[in-house]
Amino acid sequence: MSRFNRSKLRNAASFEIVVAFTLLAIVAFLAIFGKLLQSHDPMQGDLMARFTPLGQKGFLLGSDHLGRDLWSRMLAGLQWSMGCALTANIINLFIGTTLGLIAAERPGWPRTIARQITDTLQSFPFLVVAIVVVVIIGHGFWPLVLTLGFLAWPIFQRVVYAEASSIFQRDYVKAARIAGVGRITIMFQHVLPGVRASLMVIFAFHFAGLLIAESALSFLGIGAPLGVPTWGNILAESRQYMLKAPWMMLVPGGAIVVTVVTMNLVGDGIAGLARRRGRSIDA
Amino acid sequence: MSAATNTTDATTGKAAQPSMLATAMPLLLQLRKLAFLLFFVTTLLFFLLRLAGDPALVLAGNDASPEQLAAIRKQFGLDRPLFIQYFSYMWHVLQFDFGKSLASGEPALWKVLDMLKRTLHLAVMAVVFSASLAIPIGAWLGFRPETLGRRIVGAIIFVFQGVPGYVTALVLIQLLAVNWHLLPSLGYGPLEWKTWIIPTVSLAFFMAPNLIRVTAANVAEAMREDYIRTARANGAKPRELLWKHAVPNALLGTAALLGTQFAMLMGGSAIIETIFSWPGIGWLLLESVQTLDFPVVQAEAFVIAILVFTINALVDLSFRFLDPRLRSKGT
Amino acid sequence: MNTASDRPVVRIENLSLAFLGQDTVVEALRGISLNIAAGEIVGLVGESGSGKSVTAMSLLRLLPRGKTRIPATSSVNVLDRDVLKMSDVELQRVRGGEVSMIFQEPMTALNPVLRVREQMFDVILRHQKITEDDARKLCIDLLRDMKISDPERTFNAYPHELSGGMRQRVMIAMAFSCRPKLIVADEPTTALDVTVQAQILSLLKERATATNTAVLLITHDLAVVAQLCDRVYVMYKGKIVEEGPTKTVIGNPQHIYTRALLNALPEGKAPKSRLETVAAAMIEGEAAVSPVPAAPIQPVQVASGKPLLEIHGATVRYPSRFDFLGRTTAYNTAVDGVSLTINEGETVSIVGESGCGKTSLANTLVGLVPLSGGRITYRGQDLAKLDPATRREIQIVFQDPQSSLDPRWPVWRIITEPLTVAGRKSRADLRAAAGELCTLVGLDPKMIDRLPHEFSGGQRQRIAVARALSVRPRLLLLDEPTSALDVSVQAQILNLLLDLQATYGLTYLFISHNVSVVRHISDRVAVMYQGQIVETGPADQVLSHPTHAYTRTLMDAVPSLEKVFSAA
Repeated sequence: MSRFNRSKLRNAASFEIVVAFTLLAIVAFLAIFGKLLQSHDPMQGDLMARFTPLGQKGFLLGSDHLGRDLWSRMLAGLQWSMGCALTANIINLFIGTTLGLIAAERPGWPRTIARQITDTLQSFPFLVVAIVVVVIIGHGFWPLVLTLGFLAWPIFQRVVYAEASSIFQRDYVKAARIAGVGRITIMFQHVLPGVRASLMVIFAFHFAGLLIAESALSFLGIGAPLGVPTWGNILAESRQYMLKAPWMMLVPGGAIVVTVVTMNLVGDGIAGLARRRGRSIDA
Repeated sequence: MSAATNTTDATTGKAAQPSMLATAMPLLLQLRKLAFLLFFVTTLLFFLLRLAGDPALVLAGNDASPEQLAAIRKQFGLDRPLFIQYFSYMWHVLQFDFGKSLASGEPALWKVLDMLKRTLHLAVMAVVFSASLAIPIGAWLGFRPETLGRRIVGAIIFVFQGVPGYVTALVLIQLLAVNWHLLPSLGYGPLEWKTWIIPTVSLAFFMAPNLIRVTAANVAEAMREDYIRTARANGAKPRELLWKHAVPNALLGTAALLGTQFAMLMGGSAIIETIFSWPGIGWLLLESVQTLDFPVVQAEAFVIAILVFTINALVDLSFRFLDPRLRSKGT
Repeated sequence: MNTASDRPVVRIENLSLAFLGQDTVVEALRGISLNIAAGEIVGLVGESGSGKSVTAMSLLRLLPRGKTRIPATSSVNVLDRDVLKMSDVELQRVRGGEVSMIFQEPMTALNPVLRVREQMFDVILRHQKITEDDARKLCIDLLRDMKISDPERTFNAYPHELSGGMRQRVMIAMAFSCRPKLIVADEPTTALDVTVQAQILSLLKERATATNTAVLLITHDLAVVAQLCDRVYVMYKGKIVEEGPTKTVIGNPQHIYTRALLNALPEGKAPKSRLETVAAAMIEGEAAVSPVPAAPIQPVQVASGKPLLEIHGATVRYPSRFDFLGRTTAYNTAVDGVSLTINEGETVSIVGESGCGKTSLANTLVGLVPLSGGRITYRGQDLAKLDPATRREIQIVFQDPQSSLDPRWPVWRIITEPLTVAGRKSRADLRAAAGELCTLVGLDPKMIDRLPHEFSGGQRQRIAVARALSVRPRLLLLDEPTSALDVSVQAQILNLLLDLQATYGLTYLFISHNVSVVRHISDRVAVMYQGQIVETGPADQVLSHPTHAYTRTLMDAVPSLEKVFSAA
């Protein structure tokens, strides 16, 4: 490969990162200021304008079976889904990191318990646990957030446990212990900074996973309350009108894919940056 | 850390011989774990489901009179103290008796096992399809990850990774069933292979991108190993380097993810099963949780836990097959 | 034993090679020329980064073409054909056929999922038209030639079932399997213990002589070259700076770098004398280098004789097997009843090969691993019950300067970390202390804001020493502090340690497998084998007149320049 090609490839790598964070900025902007950009009331239908195709009669993304504006409904749904996934993700991060650190640092019963909880949760497909719990505790934003928040953290625990365990084996941690540095200080000054990069990467990828889980549960009719404009609900409604109005399915479906790919790109971008930084640090 | 110098038995001081028990130990330990898990989950669900609703109300219907309710409570032993009910229930569970479905009256376990075969059918097809896509593509991508063509394919796979299975399913239904009338949009027939295609492809398209990326990353890593350099120095052709030396070493990660994905389908395929009216355990779970059909939910959790455990055990076994180093360790 | 014929097996002419990085071009080789005659054993010596491995890889064109640049004026002729101009198919015939390679890491150089059988067949059936039965017989013969006692079992084994030495024998057997004209051995014994190294090297020489195969031995160890090679090339920064018959080059080195390298070796120098460092020699220029080290010999610190650390029957065990209920049923005994006294101000060394328990003992002394039996006292108090301040008087320097410094911390924080425990100190105080400590260990105090990856291996080891010194220790455990370093850097670190001891009266417990370093730095030596101390006494007595059988084996196995020259 010539040198010209290589520098192009490297630029492509940073190009990916730029694209990822630009998309993230757009998604975040739409999620935060979406209300101002809504052209219609997302809940109010116009029965005269049912099944309007894309871009006609002022419906940017068309209208649904009740004549509601899909663009406005998508923005409302974005805010709902992002809020839900973000809150749940922060709870996940907190629980998973805590249990991972406990398992890595404290041999004996704390480790056993921390790992046992994780193993138990992982003995079932996540969706199975989520379905049972969400149905029992009920519909709505907070039940969904709490279900995802308190059940979807094992990925954080696994990664923190693995990485922290390896950091605890490093000579610099041994040197700190020999010097008499306390375990909590070691944890916050050596171990947590060491796992920070991986945590950021998982946070981004997991965000995408939570978005999928949220919309899946809503799609099944057990996540968001019926009638609330979330992407899963809109997608579920579209199923009856596939022949008549395919855009009713393609618009929310496309929105989910774009958002999920954005978060995956961000995760990949952070991982790439961390790798590059890690290479210069570790090599 | 200094390596071991000599192994001695703590009690006798003689060199310890691995016994039959020692060989079976890992399995015994695993089974003990499973027993604990089943006990824990059954107990938790028993009380959780009681919190969610009153089984007598489910049995009698919402418009039942207080007298009818009392009669049903008496008949099913629901008037006894909760703990007595719990112990009686656990006694039955020990004999694999989860009671009868509140909805249909069939034995709950039979109902679940009946649905299970359809879920397994779907899962096996999806996993086989996804693995047969992922291993060749992953190996090709990982062999020389930096070339332009592979980067483009990698980018496409990256986008596909963000497409949830149910979106793929809806798009395929739209195209193949609604627009072009090539395939049926829903239903399950054991011998009607046409009904299998869209569900299988939807699941496989959701699982394969991840699998491809993991395989590619592992192959790329294996290609950087010293033994590849040895093989190259011994005159191996690129094809031999990839298929004889790199891929066998990279399959461990692929097998692990494949196992995870297969386990995930044990109930996690609820959405696909719902979309296609494919009556498997995922569909049944949703159905029974929503109608508070307690015996079925319990039996379902029990069966899924055993399934996931079995799949993990099989994956562990496949590790030993794939990596000789794990064969001799005995853990 | 020089059986050179007219036609050289290898003729490298004016080979230059540059690695193309993202924005950088790194010149690895700058016009080297090298010849190897048939049946000749040639050494290629240099420190890390000198380009010796790149030369080896270039012989078989193993470096990725897209990432390297070789000018058209270079040629690498193997049996009169230019490797640089060969097609891929031709190259594949040469690789493993006419030229084969042995690599450094026996642990990773064999494919872990294939049996030895499959890997040997892979090579043999590719290059020779013979039946599987014949190939099998050939393999067994080859393995038997490698003095493997049970060739059948080894033949059917997976790599992980073999020890490092065994794997390297298998690698050598594979290398000889297609009757190559040349074997390139890239640091073949660096990862092995000395006793195993001696066996492997003599096997390599024996087989090469028996089959009249030429060998290019690449190593950093001059003593290995002296023992094995007919001729030697010395490499420095991508150039060959000196070449000639081994005895001439080592006995009467012409080039300043070769001389400096020899002077940096502790072997044959007065104990505790300062070693000349290559860097100093290269800077000061030709005139400054004389055969005798110019730097003055430091006065040897007189040991006060008062015991500082006393070890009585120390035993360290690790649980190795558990029963159904998780109880321990068997232990691995790493340290088995070791007794040793270390007096104030002296240097005691523990010598032993990997797995002998020396590192476990060190970890016990600093409290990382609990004692399973016996007693250790420090200044008359039980080690386990020391107050934190006294405990801090024992500090350690680890082997791997890579792992011993937190990659995310600036140097001043690393160095002063132990100080933060003793009491709250302001950032300015800590930075000032770090600056002083840097000066003490020979680092520029202006560098305290840099991260560890900006330093070389030797500088990182200095940082580790500075950290250990920050709390004014009395006893310093040095766990293989120079094993990961080049000879010239090793000399610098040894000088630093000797200076510090002379200035501050430190007591050292020096742990190493390197006999010549131990002889150089120690007052007393303890030889450790299978968890026990088999011999102890004054350094010169133990190492020159060993009484225990293991010590004798060890000393015989150590490659040494002196032995070669006294034999001549």
